[in-house]
Amino acid sequence: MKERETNPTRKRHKKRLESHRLAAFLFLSPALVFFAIFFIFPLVATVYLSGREWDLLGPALEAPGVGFRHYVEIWQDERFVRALINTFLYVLACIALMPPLALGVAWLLNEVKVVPWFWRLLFFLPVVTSAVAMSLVWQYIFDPTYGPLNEALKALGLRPLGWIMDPDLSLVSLIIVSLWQGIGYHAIIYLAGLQGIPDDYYEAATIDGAGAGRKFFHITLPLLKPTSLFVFVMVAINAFQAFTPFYVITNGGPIDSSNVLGLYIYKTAFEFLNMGKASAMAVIMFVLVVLVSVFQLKWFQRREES
Amino acid sequence: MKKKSRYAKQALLCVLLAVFGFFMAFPFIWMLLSSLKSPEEIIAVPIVWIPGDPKWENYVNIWSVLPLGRLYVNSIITTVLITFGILVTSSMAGFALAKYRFRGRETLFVLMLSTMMIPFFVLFIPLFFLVKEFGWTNSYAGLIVPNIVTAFGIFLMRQFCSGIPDELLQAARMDGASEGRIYLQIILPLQKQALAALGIFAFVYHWDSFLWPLVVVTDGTLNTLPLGLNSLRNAYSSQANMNMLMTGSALAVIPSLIVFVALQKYFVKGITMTGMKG
Amino acid sequence: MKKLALLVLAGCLLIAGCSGGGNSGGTGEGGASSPASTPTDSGSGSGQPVTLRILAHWDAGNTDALLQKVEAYKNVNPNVTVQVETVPFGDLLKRITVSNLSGGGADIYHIYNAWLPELTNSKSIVPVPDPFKSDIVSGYGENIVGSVSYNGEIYGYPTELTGYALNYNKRLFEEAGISAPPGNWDELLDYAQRLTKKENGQTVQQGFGVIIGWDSGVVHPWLTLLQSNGGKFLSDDLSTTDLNSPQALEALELYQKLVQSGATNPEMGLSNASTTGPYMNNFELGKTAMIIMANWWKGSLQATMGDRFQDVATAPIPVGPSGTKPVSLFYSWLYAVSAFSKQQEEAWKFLQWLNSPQGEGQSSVQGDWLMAQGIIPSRLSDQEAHEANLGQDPFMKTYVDLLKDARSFPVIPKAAEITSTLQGYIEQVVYSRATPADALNGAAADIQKLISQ
Repeated sequence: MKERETNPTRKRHKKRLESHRLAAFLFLSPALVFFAIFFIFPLVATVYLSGREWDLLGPALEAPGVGFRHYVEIWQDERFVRALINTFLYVLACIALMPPLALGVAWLLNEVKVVPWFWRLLFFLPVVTSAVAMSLVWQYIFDPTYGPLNEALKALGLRPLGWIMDPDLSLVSLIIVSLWQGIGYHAIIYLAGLQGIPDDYYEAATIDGAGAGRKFFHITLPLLKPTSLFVFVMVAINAFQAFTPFYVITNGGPIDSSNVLGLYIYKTAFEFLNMGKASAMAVIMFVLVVLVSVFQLKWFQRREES
Repeated sequence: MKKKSRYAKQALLCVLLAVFGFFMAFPFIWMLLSSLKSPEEIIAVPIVWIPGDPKWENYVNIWSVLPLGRLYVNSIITTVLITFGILVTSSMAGFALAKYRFRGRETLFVLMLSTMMIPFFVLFIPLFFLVKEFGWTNSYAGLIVPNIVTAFGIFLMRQFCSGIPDELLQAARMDGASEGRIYLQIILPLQKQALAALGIFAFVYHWDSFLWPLVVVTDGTLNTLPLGLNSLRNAYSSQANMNMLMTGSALAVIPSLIVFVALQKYFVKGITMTGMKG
Repeated sequence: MKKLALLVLAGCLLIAGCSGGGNSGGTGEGGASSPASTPTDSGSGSGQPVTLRILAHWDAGNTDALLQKVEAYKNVNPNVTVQVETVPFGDLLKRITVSNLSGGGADIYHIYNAWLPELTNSKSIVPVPDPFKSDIVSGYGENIVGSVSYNGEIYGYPTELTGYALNYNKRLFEEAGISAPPGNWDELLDYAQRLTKKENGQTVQQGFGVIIGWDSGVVHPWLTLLQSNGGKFLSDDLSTTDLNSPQALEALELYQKLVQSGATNPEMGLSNASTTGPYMNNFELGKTAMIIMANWWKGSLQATMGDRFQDVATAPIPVGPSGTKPVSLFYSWLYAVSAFSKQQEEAWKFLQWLNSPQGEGQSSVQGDWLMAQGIIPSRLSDQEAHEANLGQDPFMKTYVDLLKDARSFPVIPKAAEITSTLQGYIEQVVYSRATPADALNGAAADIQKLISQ
């Protein structure tokens, strides 16, 4: 008796699963096709080029092969090691500072009821304006002799600093620029996340007598986990590849104190015309970023399960 | 008593936001002020904060310095189409990765994520070679197609979709809805905020895109705004053109601002989840 | 479900098949096309319309001026039209790369001579063919022709010359009671210190300014000092560095002394190839008394300083203790012809016309165009034709005089990386992070490695 009843149910269940898999595949197929064409090929090409000696100008397919030589020589290159260290410092600073600040701003933006669109626009301005034009403005702001920043410090009676012209402060200056650029950007993401949390949860908590702090830590933060994961991973990925402000404002200087991977790879490829070495560095960067991202994904997953 | 504290709270919020907001807006304000300066005022020291005699004519002159009309048209066509493509593909792929279980799902996700991990200026050379083989150099197709899918968008949509309760979908399936209907009638409306955010980011990012158009466009007719503006950055006349660059940059910003103001209103808390509570 | 499947499939096909409107720029060849190295004649005498495209980094104003002047070529060759495509300097090499990948682009490239080794090794440009070669050899000074040659072949018509000289502010000199520019390093050091003013520990006026953060900007002025001290950057056959010499040590120690005495403040030196930046602004505003700079920034100086440009004067590079005379540095630009061009013969003919005297004792079109921008033309006949202007302009006269003994920046492979490496070591000394001796050893070792590769 039982078997005759469960068989049709199981068949229906199986059919449903298959149609689900088909649906998933169809939803994913445009992206998959695209990536296959526009990413896999260039990625494979980059790995291929990392084993060649190519100056970008001659025919790529005739470039001589050098095996793993680039992968060995970059570790002997002081400038690469320096760039790697600078990049890690920069990434760590961004991961530590950007998400909390962005969340803080998002919370403010969410709470304010007076012309909310105006405040949102204000914080979004850094994202909207051209990265190059804004980098030029920041270069001016940070200049030790003219910049308004040092003028302000002097007006407050403080000692003006070397900022982008000081090897010890150049990275800090660029971190400030990145925070300026990114806070509004990530605040918008957090804002969208905050908006997705139903009021009911907060109302229920108020009824239970919870204060603002408890509401934040026990409702907001946990429900924001998917958003936070996104922000942390994107901050890290973008920080690893940081380029425009470094290129325009300090060009890696002084004395390579603000040379980061993205910039050094660019210089090696397009100024030193050493595409093979640049490709090798790009592959290394790729591996590092994948490792860091996977680590972050796993970390968030463990937190979710607890 | 309650009303007073609410006003006080709002006032405090506005003050805080104004202070931080000023720092955020400062470089932008500087750019706007500079767009009205004369070339001498731009590099003068001590700094000239407010132009003595605002050169409003800069905003007229810029149209003869650059073919702004055509630049705008090219930028609008390419950016709008790219944004549309990104919204569609990210919405579908993000949904699939968040709400369907299949073997290798997490691996596929990480693989897709990895597409963001090589700097574009490394990939663009092989990419250019590919585009050339397709015959798309110096065409809208070459500008648009290589940009219509981005792991950033897929990632964002996946995260937002993961917050949608499974019960909602199961209920719909019990009612006999097809996966397609579920997507169109349930998922899409719930993705509104995320799609608005993604739309803003995609638009703003591609509006300012420089390197790829530089490589794809070989004759000036398809120039986008950043390409046009960059022609002002030139060592021999950098001073004379710096204020034009600021003027051009100010004008270039407008569409992005419009898109932002238009889409941000979707960040409105609303009917999204309350249906579930009943 | 079926509806969804159809919808998605249709979407995929749409995206995949979207090869939209627009012309393709590809030639249909594979990316490994090798260019012909002999000039091909596309029937210039048959009257078929020919379009010559020039790729350069000039700004809009100057480009228009050139195109107007070039209209006159229609009188000589009515079927030829000349077009110019410009990109910012930083993207010029990239554009050439992309052109090579797509199997063709502009016919004529206006390039920086430092790129010659890579452009010739990759067969991107062609050597000058015979009838035009003798024109170049006879028309330009030997050191200039050398600067546009590589491995014994000449690669194009030299255009702009950039040299370096001492620029100083006469008004500041008067205020400090100094009557003449420094002729040697002792005077340079002495004057620089007298011209330095500090307030509250901040430098409000520095005696001698150096650039930080831009490879050529850091290296080129220092090389002029090295050379004026009897030293050399590379050996004559370009196979080894000559940096481990007492002359080089003295040159770096000069920088060290300038910095330690406070006469040079590295924080005032920000500059790069695209914007003049604070380094030049400081000089323009009278906050820096002396700099060693190139002539092509004269236009910017004039525009920015206005009337105060009268305070600016130029002088030869001060001579070092181990040197006998000022030896400046120069680099050049040239018109080269793309190996992918199908109109090479036409291109060379046009270039010859552009760079030849328009009449007996007259300047060439190129010469006129350069002079209008305040740039020294490299063709001897042009320099003679404009002698009055060049000689009467005290600013330019110094540069012209220095050109006779000036040495070209070496045209070798990896010039960019070598410059960048040397920049790092010089900056270490300027920021007091390394002693001149250590910096020199490091620089010599690293650069030698790069040369030997």
